[in-house]
Amino acid sequence: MSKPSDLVQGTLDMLLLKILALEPMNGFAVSQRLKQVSGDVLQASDGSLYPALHKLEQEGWITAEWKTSEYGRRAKYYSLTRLGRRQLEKEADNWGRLSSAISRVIKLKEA
Amino acid sequence: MRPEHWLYTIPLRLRSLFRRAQADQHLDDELRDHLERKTEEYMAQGMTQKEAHRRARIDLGGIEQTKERCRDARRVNWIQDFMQDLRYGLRILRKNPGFASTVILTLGLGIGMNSAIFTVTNGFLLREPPITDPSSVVMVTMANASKRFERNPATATEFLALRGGPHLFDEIAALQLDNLPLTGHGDPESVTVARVTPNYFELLGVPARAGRTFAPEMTQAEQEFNAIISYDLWQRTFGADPGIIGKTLTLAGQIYTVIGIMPDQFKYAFVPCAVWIPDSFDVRPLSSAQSEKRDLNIFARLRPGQTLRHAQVQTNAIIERLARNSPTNKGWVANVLTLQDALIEEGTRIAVLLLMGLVVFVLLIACANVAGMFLARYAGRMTEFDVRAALGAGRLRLIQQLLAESLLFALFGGAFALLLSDWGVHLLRAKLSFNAETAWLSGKLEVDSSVFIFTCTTSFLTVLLFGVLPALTSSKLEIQSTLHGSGGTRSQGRRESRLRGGFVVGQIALTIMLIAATGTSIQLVISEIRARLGFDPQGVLCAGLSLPSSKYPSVQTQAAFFSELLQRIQALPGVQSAAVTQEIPESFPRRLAFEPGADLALKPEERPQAGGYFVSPDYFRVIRIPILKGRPFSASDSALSTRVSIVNESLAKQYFPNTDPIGMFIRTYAGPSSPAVSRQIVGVAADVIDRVGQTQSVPQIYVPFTQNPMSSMTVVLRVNGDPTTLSAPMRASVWAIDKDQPIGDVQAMTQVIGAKGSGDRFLAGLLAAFASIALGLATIGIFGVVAYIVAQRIHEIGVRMALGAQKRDIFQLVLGRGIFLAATGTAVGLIGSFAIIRIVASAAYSDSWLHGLLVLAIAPAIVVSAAVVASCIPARRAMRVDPMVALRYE
Repeated sequence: MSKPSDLVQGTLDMLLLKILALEPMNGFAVSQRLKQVSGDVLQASDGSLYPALHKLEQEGWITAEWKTSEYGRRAKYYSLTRLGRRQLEKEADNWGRLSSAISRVIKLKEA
Repeated sequence: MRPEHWLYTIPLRLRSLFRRAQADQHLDDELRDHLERKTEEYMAQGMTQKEAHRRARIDLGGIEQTKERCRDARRVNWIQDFMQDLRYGLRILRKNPGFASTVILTLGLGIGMNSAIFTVTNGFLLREPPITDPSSVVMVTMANASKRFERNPATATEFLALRGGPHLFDEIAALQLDNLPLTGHGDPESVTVARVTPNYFELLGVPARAGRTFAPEMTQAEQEFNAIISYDLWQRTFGADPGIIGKTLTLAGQIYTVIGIMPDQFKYAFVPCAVWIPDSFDVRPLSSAQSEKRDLNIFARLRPGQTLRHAQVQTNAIIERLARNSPTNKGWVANVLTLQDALIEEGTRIAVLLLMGLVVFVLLIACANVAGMFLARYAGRMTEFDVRAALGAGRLRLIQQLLAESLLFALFGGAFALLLSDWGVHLLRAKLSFNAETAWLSGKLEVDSSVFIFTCTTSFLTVLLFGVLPALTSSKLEIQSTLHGSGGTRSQGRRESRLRGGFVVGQIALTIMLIAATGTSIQLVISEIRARLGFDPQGVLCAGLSLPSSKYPSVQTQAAFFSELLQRIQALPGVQSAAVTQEIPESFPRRLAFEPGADLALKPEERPQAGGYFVSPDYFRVIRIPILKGRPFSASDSALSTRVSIVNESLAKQYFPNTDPIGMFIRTYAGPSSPAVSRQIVGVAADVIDRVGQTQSVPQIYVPFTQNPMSSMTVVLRVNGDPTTLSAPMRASVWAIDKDQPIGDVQAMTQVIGAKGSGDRFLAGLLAAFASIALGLATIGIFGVVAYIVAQRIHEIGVRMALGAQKRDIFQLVLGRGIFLAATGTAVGLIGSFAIIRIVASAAYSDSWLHGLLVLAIAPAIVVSAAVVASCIPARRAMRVDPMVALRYE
């Protein structure tokens, strides 16, 4: 299943949802965008990207559709569904709470 | 949230399930598109096309693995895998027809036949009367510990007390049986008449077939001379006259109006009656003799939610109050029994328990068989699973595959079992129809679903467990070592073969025990039929005669009638001897109170009771009751001579211990307030049963009928050949004396007691069927294990033959293994069956467990010969092993 060892568990799903929330795009573009925005910090391999996308699709959070791209190629374009948007809000919320909690702990001054 | 979620996901799942090819094509396209773009990107960075393509593929991980992971994301993938496994399983099934058919046959016998036999036996033993909701109907029976009465009818006083109680039951009714002459319609006949409270039919919930039943709300006076007739009487005596309702019939000179006809099947509810007439048992001023007569059968329907225990406590409170106030009720307590308890004999209950035990036994054997077969097959397929594991199949995936295969076996086996059980019930139904009641009963039998489900579940669990076991254990194995040398396989095989041998030994032990239990039961049944009667019913014709008191008012005229009849009948050709008796054995004759010895004077309620038989001199000759001491009655024992009696062996032993009873005196009482009659004992007769299924001997007293004449007698005649050929001449003899005299049922004595006998024979046959199935299954088990051992040892056999072993040696080697297993199992089984025989025998009848020793000798012989036959086939195969082929095969 899609459990990239190099990513915090579960965050890949959230990242993908976020990327697709901006605009519908195909798998290759998603992988490019992922690399661009996160730099080299979050390394999601192509090998885990596709199973993750398929999983999100099966969950009903994103939907796929075959379209002809700007270069005249047929490609599978993913876009966020209403369910996916709700899921993204939930996960982003969770993430916000988790990260602020962690940073509060980390910033504790040693006595 | 959820429904909306499903709105999205269900079409997706369906698409991936049914458009698998399309989904796979899309997946291919998507990944290829990705690879192309990635390659272009790398080429743009300056790599060669080849290098760029390689890098792109590396980034994607293994393409096939990624694809598989994408497919896994579809969630329904396991269904497709499962279908694939099922197809593979089917292929395996087709390729191993021997294995497959053995497993399916075993399951079919274990589940199907087992539940069929159980269904029929259980249905036969625990038959329910054809009334509405029989489970909430109870009978109130009376017991008296000091008089050793267990299930007696109640008195009118007791019934009225219970009915007057504070709303004890939903409904309470009483029934009193009588025999009355029916005249005016063809030949006069004596019919069974039931006096019932008007609510009787409402309580049972059975409406009339035509007309109506009694109206509980009407007074006794309003419907006193209404009668309801049985279907049989309507058919036989009234020629199925559709206008019978409203016409009249004459019972004992009294005219009744027919108001209803009961349905045909109603005769199977309790005692078959010809006519029902209403009686409230309370309007007439009861004389003390009438109110204390213990002849009311009390039926009651429990209130909704009322428990048996609750009813029991309340009933007893009323009866106890009664017993405190009246001396005649002293010592009597009430028992509230379910219909099943009330109508079914103790022996039957034991038989049902025994039957349940048998089902479990056969099921165990079948399961052991299936388990053993799967273990053997697993050993043969070790390499296959190791290869699969080495190629990367996960443990779950292996379990899934085996689960699919096992499921196939379970499904086929279950389907076959369903067919077999249905067919078995049909077959047994035909066998069950040995009399009208069982024929009616058998029509209602359907496969007992709870037993079918129980056996099915148990077998399926066995199949699934042992089918999947290889996958559970295989991952523990070192793949390397098994795939390398053959050493690993062989030692594993030896362990499996020991386990399998253990199963077969257990199976044989169970079979031995089953045969022992069955054999013992059959012997008990046979000895019950033969020895326990105490008389010989073969070739005897019986006919009931009831003289109307209007025509034969005095005992002298009654005695004269019977004496003349006997003379006429004895003169008929084909009649060896003839007699009259008030009761034939097994019909539970009336109790006769007595006092042993002339000087004893006991209170009426303390007098011991015996079965009373009032007979003519030749009675003992006719039904062949041996006279052990003294003499039988003779023509000189008349109304004018000394009062005499013959007692049975039990009475003599119990009341005249260590003395010769001949010449002693015994006092008999016709009723509680009747004067004593002192009788000299002239003979001791062997015991006979007083009623069907009786297991203990009770005292019995015979009195010459001339010294105590009665109006109702049964004529018995011993005949050369078929007794029923004498029916017509016998009737003619009666009507030659009195053309208006009704004659009751004329039938062979075997027929009178036959239903019980054929029922026992039927049960014995079913037990034997159980044992045969067990034997068949065990034989399959032995065959399987020996064949497996041969397959395992092909290599060894090859070496032996190459080194000069003769075919005979090999044959003996293999056969020896089979016999060894059979012998071990037999030894274990014998120990178990010794215990079982004692349990069966002591549960049923206390003294006859020694008979079982014969069975203990026969059972091993049967099982060992089955083992020899089962081992011969694989042994012959081993004999034909070609050493060259066997060695090269390795």
